[in-house]
Amino acid sequence: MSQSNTTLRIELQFSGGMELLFDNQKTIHAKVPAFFPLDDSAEEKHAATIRDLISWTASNLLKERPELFIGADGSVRSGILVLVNGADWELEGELDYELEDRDEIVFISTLHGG
Amino acid sequence: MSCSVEEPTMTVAEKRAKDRAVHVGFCCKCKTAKSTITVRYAEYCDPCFLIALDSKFRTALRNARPYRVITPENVMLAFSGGPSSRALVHLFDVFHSLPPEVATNKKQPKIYNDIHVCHIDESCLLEPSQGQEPQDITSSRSTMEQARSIAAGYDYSFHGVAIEDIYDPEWTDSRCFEAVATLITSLPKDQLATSGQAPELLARIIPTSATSPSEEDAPKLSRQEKINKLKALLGACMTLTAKETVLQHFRSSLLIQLAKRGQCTILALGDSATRVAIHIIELTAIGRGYSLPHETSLLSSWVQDCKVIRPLKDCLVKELDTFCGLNDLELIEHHNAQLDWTMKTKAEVKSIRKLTDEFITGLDKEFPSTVATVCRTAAKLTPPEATYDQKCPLCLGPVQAGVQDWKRRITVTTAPGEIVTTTSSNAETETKESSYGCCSSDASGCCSSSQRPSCTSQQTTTTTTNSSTSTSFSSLLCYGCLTNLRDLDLKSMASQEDSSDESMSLSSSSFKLPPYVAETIVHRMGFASLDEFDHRFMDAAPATAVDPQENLRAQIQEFLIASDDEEE
Repeated sequence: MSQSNTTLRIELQFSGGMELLFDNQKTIHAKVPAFFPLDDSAEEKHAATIRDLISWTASNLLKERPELFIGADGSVRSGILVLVNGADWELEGELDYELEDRDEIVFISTLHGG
Repeated sequence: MSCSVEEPTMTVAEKRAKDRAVHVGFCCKCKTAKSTITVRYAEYCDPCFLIALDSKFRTALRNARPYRVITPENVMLAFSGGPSSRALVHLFDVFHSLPPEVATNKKQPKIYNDIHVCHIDESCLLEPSQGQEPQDITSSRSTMEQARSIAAGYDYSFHGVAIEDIYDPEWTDSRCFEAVATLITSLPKDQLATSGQAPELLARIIPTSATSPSEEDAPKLSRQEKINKLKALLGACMTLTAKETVLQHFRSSLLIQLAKRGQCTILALGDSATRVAIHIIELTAIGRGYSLPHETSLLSSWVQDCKVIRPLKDCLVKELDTFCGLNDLELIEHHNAQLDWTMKTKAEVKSIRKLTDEFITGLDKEFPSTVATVCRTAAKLTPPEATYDQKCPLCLGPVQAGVQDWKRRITVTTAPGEIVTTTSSNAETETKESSYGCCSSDASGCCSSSQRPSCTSQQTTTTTTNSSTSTSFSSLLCYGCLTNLRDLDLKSMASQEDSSDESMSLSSSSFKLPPYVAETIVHRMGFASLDEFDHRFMDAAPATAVDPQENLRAQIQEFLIASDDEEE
């Protein structure tokens, strides 16, 4: 399982107020583990999906107010748009989309006024 | 729509989605490009999405205002800096800029003459971020320059105002209404806690020139003074809901003023379908159902000389966000205070708006037609037949007759044991109120006393001088504002009892309502200007002071005769 140590380079972007939760960073170049779960003793590992990315982001990058980012069932809160390489994540399989190296994931909060 | 109807609708929509899905993964319009955006059940590629959104916007504009117009009007775009209003500015620009060959060939008049952009800077209300001195915020986080430069990019004339300018005498209909209103309660302080009765709110018009000694013609109030006043008022709101609602009223008052100043007869707001749906539920919840049609419709003609349109009313917030993203439109990040309040307040503190927001967006995730259903349902409402002159002083919306009576009948505020004491005060307020004329002439007229408002409450007129005469404020308000103001911190207000000591009452009231409120109160009482209002009270005060007993007798005379008749 030499693969389990590799990471994926993922560009995360936050806008529409999401950046406030990430210390005002609009773009984060993250190195995301390629296989989840991270626990070495786990029997079966699967390639990282958006579901894993969300929980990983929440525990590693999120600065405050997790309830404004994570919703029920381990997804993002309703009202947050997720774009995978510029396309709506609903078209890419939502939570089950498997991340690839150099993917660009955008989180846009629609909970703004204006 | 009931649940049983909802389900077949869902399947129809899904069926349609299935039909479209012949070209799975491809745009439903061109069917050649890979789809990148889903809007409800439809999938689009980027170019087709932009075309679809543009035509949606054009349809809405045409519905709001027929294309065949004789005189083109000026339009004011309300631009907060958020994605929706940012999209509004851009869509208007696309709509209004004809390709040169069309512009020169056809001699068609322009549909909109001039396009103006206005912005309200709310940076003074933002919480200081860590390590920042409170004083620095206004300068460093001001959104004005950014908004100005965005407007300049489109070559539109820009009008900017800061939210604290709501306290400037200039931002009123008469543009120099130099007075603010303070609120006092009809109950003494010590009774506030014990009596469950909602106290009657009285307003007192206080000329600003008297309170600020500065003599220059230049702005009477410094920026900081205005900010302090605004913060004091918002601080007196004990719930986040009340705070947000009051701020929203100030915002709309300023927007209307901005539109009028820019010689615009149309004010375009960037409310998206999602926002309108949330607004519909929120307004219903906070008791603003009466003015709801005006606040959510595609076109509202409520405000005199200024139509309000919402051309993005059919676009979901998701579409607008995507639109801004695709066009690389520059947004202003910290553009409204509400967002900041949400971020900084603890998670458990939620306003009604926030809760409805969560409710609608949560529901819309599972049932993507929620927003559209709510909007379509509310679009059937017809605006109430109220006159603009009789507008609510705070929200400038329509006022329904008999508001206080209705509220009293449906509200239980006292424990059964206390009823004896409260009925007397009830009767007292009722007499006072009905003679004021609740909000229109036909209000609950059990007492047809034709006396002028000031004379009916002898207690008030005898103890005060012209600058601090109080008038009933509760009776002028619409139901929504009356309900909302119950969340004001009454302890910070002076009571009527205290008001005999004038110097104290002036200082003890910790917050003041802005000049536009004072102006509307004076107008609602039938005076054209502040001067006229002052004069009348100078004349009236001595007259009533002569014999308060006689005055009281005149007030209740009708009842006295009635009871005599019965005895005989």
